[in-house]
This record gives sequence, structure tokens and C-alpha cells, in this order.
Amino acid sequence: MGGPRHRTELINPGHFACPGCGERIAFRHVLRALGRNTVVVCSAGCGSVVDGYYPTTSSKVPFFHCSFGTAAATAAGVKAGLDMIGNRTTTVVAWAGDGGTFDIGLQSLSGAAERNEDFLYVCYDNEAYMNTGVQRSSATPKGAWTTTTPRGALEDRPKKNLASILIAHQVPYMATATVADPEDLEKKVRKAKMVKGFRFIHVLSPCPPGWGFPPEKTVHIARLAVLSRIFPLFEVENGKDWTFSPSAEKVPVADYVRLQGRFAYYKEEHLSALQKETDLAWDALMSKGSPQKGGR
Amino acid sequence: MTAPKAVSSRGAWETMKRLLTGNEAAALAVQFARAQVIAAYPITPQTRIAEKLAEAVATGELRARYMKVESETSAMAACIGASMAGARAFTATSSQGLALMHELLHWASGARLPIVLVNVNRSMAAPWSLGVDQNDSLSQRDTGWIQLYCGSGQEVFDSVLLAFRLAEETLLPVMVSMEGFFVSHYLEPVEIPTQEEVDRFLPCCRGRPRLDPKRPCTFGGGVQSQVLYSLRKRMEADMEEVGASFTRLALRYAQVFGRSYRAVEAFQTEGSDLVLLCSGSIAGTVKAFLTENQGKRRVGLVQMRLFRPFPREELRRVLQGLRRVAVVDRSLSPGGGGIFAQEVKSALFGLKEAPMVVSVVGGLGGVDITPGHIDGLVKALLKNQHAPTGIFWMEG
Amino acid sequence: MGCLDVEGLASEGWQMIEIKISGRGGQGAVLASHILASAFFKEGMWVQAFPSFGAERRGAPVSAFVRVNRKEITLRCNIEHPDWVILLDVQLLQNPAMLSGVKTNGCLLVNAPEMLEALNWPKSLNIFLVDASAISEILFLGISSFPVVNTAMIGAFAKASGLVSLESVLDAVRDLVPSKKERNEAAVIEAFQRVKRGNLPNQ
Repeated sequence: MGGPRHRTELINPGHFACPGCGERIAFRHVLRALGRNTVVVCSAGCGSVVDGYYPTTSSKVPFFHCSFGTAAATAAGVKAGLDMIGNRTTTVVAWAGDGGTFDIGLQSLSGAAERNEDFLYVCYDNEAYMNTGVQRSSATPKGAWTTTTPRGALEDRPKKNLASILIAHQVPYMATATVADPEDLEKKVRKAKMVKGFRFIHVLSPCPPGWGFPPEKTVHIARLAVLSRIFPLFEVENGKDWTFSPSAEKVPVADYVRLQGRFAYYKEEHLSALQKETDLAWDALMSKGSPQKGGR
Repeated sequence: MTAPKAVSSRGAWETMKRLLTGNEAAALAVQFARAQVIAAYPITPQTRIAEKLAEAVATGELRARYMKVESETSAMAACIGASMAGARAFTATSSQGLALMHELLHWASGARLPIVLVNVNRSMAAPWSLGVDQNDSLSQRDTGWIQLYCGSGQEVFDSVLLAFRLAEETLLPVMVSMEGFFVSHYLEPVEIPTQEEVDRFLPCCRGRPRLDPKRPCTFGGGVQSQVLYSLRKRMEADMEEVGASFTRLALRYAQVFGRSYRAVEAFQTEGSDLVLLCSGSIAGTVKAFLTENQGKRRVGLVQMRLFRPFPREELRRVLQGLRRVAVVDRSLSPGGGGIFAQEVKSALFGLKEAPMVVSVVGGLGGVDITPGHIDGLVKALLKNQHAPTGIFWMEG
Repeated sequence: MGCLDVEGLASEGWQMIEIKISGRGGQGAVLASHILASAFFKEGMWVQAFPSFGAERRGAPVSAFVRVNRKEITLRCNIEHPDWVILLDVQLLQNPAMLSGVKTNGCLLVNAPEMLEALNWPKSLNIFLVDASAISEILFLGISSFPVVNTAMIGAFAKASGLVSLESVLDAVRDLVPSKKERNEAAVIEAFQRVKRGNLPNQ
């Protein structure tokens, strides 16, 4: 395992995650970067189930389960309550999946972001409602198979651009990250921790059973998502100041798509369309700021 | 609005009466209670509560966080979060808004959080109505919240203070309901205590900070069947103690403020031929009617203040041996009749010398209930010696 | 210039006085009801004040109500038989709902200089008149097409009814009127002085 020895492990082994779960990798690194003086508010989803069943818990920091769709509002309330009882130092972090963030949680997310509530919201994105058995969410990419977008009716809408929604709210800090680069994720979390106001980190967290790849490939898949430019890494401050993570050499989207069972029905023409879309989106993104040069 | 002089005095303390609407009385009580986190979403006829509290926080009169949440679901979610963190949390809503909170009402009670909510009763859509009935709060009767019903601004003020204390002692959330318009918008004298008196009754910051990094715990995770079963049994046992807690706290309240309340208030019931049982504003109208018609007929009044837990023992004591009780409901469970009527019948089941129970429904949608209507109702009920088995609908 | 036998009320059934204030949306009928309630309250009376139900729209008829009694009022319902009706806009006489249910030999105070022929003046009520619009114009309260008459009308009511003192009304105005306090107080005094009898009810 990497990382300097002074960073404490704040989750216990023995949790209920599937082998290779992206969410657990994300949660582990987010907590390592935040430290002990943290309270987690977790809405329904994989993240809440894998923490464990009473009377066990894998979290070493205070962890509060809240209802689906209310992570942002509950976290805002926790922060307000802590403030009012005189605790201004504890970091409050909302932990929610794509379902609880892009869909049912979007309203309370928008409300909290718009009011600039002072907490960190981290969305672990496994691109579908995985906990309830792989149903589509608005984070599910086009062409993906899920139980509610089965063969013959594959997902036909593009992934909702959540980053642009948060940027429109002009939140003090938002960033994207993946489980392939835990140092980058931890760096962003530590940076977010020092900012006052509403902060958001979107972490791509591949799901072996849901996406259809072997559990040892989670990190590899996440890396390909970045290298293929399907999931670019960047930070945006106050809705306007963009910073891109160093961009490495580009790989074709096909390399990413072909490794996943959920894209089994992707045809050639879809791949080339995807490549085109990805390239266009990348160019549009690059126009927003100057990417740092540097390879990997 | 202030009275320039004290209107009455009580022992060593001067009392101060102010002209307040029910909504203003609620907001003022929340201020006196030193609520710390307020998360509310505006909805007619609650809006004045949200506005007064926002004003109080803005001027610094109330030291609290006022969260301008974007929906009622978020309002309750924020209260849940704040209460978990150990702060005194409050919200107010009505009808559609309360309905939107439904999932989280269960959450709040299951999490044993001492949240106080003021609900301004309003008829549920469809169709849209700014009228009044108690369906909104009564249809939340299974969510594990303590429920109090108020018929005047004074009762609202006092019930909110009682609610905070009761919630924090029992670790059960409390819903205080008042009818929209008939109580929320009626301007009337309300006796206001001093902050010092309130602090004596309700010490500040009694919340338990459960989310404490020094003592990390996980709350609300998945449980096995047996665990949930035992939690529910414990909740019921705790609910059963609430009646006694309410009585004890009401006594303490009377000692500090000079006004006493019971879960079930009886007026002229002894030896009566007929008792009208109601809640909220209708009780006041019935009382006025009975006061003006003393000696003409033997009719009494029972006003229910506490609805959850349903004060079964107290009601049985009050009604045993009486001839007939007409439950006047400003609510309707379609297919099940008036809601208080169901509960009363169930509470009286098996009681020796139980009165005949007639279910009366009226006032839905805010239809006016006047002394004239009460007169007509009483005449009709006394004339007909047999209790109708179905609903007796009031004029309207 | 009392209209009702106030002492006599004490011996009759209801001891309460019920007052209806009607105007058009935006004329401040609700504020008038609060001022009146507050004035009575300052004199140690128990009061209740509430608006009529329904959405308010500028120009649409709006009513606000006041109940006054020496002891606590527990009654809570609409006022069907007011003792007094105060009309902020004389044209509202054309609206049958405005005077429906008024007690026989009840009292009506209207914002009007005279009992203009064209309107439906009720024959069974004691009528009082005051040109509150003119007072409002002189004092620059509101605009000529929409004068602010509510405070003046309460001043006139105090004199016409004899039920509440000028001082209490002025006190209430000082507490409750958000702006132009002095001008509103002047309107109250002016109307108090100028209110006059319209006619007595037909026998």
C-alpha cells in the first residue's frame, strides 16, 4: 500500500462491499484525507449498505444514515447544528452515489449549493442504481446496459453533465477524480477541506458486477476512463477558474468500452460516434482553461 | 403589538398580554425556546411563522441558523441533521408540505430526535383549497410523532414551549397543530412570559450531540428483524409514558406560568345527556355556545389536546358513565369516517358503562361552524335517541 | 353620539360587539381591523380580529372583522350578524354581500360626504358618514384614485360609536401604521371631528 505513514486508515476491513468495489476505494481515500475530525452523512445507496449492518460499522468517524435524496439537506443541517453547539472545526461530508446525487438528490443538492452551505459533498459515481440491482440513473452513459435499459432499449441519453450544473451554481470548489489516482483524489479532498462554503467532488467509482468487468480491473478501468477523455479530471473554483490535471497520452474510447460487459451491445458506428463526441467535448473543455502540460 | 400596561398580574410576577395571531404566537414561542436551527419552506397559511423567525434571526433577536431550504423534504432533512448534531431544531409547515415530509417524519421518530414542528392545518389537495381540516396532521398519526392540538393563540404559544421540553425528555418529535385561518390568522390577546421564566421551564441546549468525532458512532444502519422489533417495542413503551410526562410537565408549566393544560379537558360533562368531543378551534366555539346556554340543556364539552399518544385512560375516566358522546371531527378518513371518532371508539372499547358514540363530521374545507350550527347539531342529536351508525354530517 | 346601548348589552345574551370593515383590496381593511382591535385592547377589552377568507386582489371587495367583549372570547367562526359595518368605499353599497346579515337597528359608517341618491342606502340601519377620501387627499395619504382612508374611518368610528376613545385609536395608529404616522394620526383626528349622522333607521 502506498501513502505516507502519518495518514490514518479510517475505515475498518470487513465491510460489505463486493470485491473490487470502487466506492470503498473512494471512501477510504476521502476519509484518509479528511482525518478524524469528520462527520459523514450518507444517503441510501451502496455506500450505506457496505458500511455494515448493526451492530457493526466499518466507519471510524461518526456516520449518520439519512434517507435517499436528502444527503445535501441533512449534511447542511448537521453543519448548522454543529455550529450552533459551538463546534466550528469538524468537517461535515455528504457521501452519496449517482442516484442520490444526479436524480432524487438533485433538488437538495442544488438547494445546498445555491445557498453555499458549508460542507463537502462527495458523489461516488458508479453510473447506475447499483445497490438495488443495476437500474439506470441519469449518470448512466449512452449505450450502457442496465436492467431498466436492457437489450433493445439500451440507455439512449447522454450522461447528465453534473459538473456544468455545479459550475452554474458558482460553488467555491468542485472537482472530478477517480479511484485510479488516489493521490490526486486525496490532494483534492485536502484542498476542499480548507475551503469554506459548498464543495463538491465527483469521483468515478467503477462497479465490477454492474459494469461487467473482473474485480481486479477496477483501477485499470478508472484509469482508462481518464485516458480516453471520457471522464476528464479538473477543478473549478467559483464557477470560473479552471485547473486541469496533467493530461497524458490519449487512448481510443474503444479501449475503455470494450473491457466492459455493459457495453457489450455497442456497435462499430456507436463507437465512432462516441469517439467524435468525446473529442468534441474535450476540445470544448480545453477552451475553458489552460491544461497543465505533463505526461504520466 | 404591545399593550402599554400589564392587563393583569399574577402573584409576584407581572404578566404581559400582547395581541398576536396564532402564527405570531408560534414564532414568538420558538424564539423564547431559543431554537438553534430553523429550516422552513413557506406555504400558506404558515408563512407568517417562517417570516417572523427569519426576521428574528436577521435582527439578532434570536441567535439561530435560519436555513432557507428549497423544499419541505429538505426542511425536515435539515432538522434531522441539526438535531443529530445536538442542536434544538424547529420547522413549520402545512398540508402539502407536511405530506412531502412524510418519509422523514418516520425517520425523525425512528432516530428518536426531539424535533418540534408546528403544523398549520389546511385541507389537502386535490383540488386546491385554502380551507381547513385536520387531515394533514391526522394522516401522519402513525409516524411516531407526539401530536398536540391547539384552539387558540395562547394554546399554541404554551404548547410550543411544552413541546420542546416534552420532546427533549422523551426523545420523540412533537407536532403542534393549529387550524389555518381560524387560529393562525386570528389576532387575539396572548399572555407572554419573560425569557427568565421560560429559561426556568426550558433550559437551553438540552440536545445530545450524537455526532461527535471524539466518540464516533454510526447511526441508522441496517438492522436485523429482531432488532427492529425490539426498537419498536421500546418506542411504544416510551410512547405509553408520554401521557404521564405530559401531565407532569403541564403541572410544572402551571407552576411557572400559571396556565394549566390537560391531555383531555372536560367542561360541564358531569350528569350530561350529551357530550361534544372536539379539538382545536371548534372547542372554543362549543364552549362559548355552552356558556351562553347554561341550564337550558345538559350538554358538555371534551376538548382533546393530546392525540398521540392517544390518552386512552384519561378519556375513559372522563367519559365513563356518560350517556352519549358526539365526536365532532374536522377530518375524514375516506372509507373510515372521522378520525378522532375512530380513535375514541377504539379507546372506549370494552369500557363498562361506556357512552354511545356518534361520529359527526363537519367543517371540512374550512366550512364555518357557528354556535347556530352547534345548536342545530345538539337539537338533532338529542331528538334522536339512537346513535346513527354512519357519519352524521354537519350543515355545510 | 353612541349608537348602541352599551350598558344594555351586558344584560342581553351575547355581550359581544361584532364589527365588519369592508373595502377594496389594497385599501387596508385588515390593517384597520388591527388598529381597531388594538385600540379596544388598550382599554382592557378582549378582542379578536381576522380577515375574510380567500385571495386578496387589488380592487376586489375585502372584509376584515373585529369582535370585542369584556371577557374572553372563545368563539371562533365568521361574523354573520355584525353590529357595525364600516365601509371604506361607498360604491360597495351596491354589493348586497356587504350588508347581508347586519343586525336590525345596527350601525353603518360609510366613507361618503352625503347620502348620494343613486346608491342603495339601507333603511333599517343607523347611518353615519364621513368624507374620509377628502381628508386623505388633504393630508396626501394615498393617491386620488386610491386614497388611504382606513385610519380616518377608525377615527370616525370612535366618535360615532362612543365605544373606544380617540386616544386609544391614536396610540394604536402609532404602533401599527408603518409609515406617515403623523399624517395618519391627523386623519384620525379630522375624521373624529367631522363624522356626522346620515339618518336614523325607519321605524
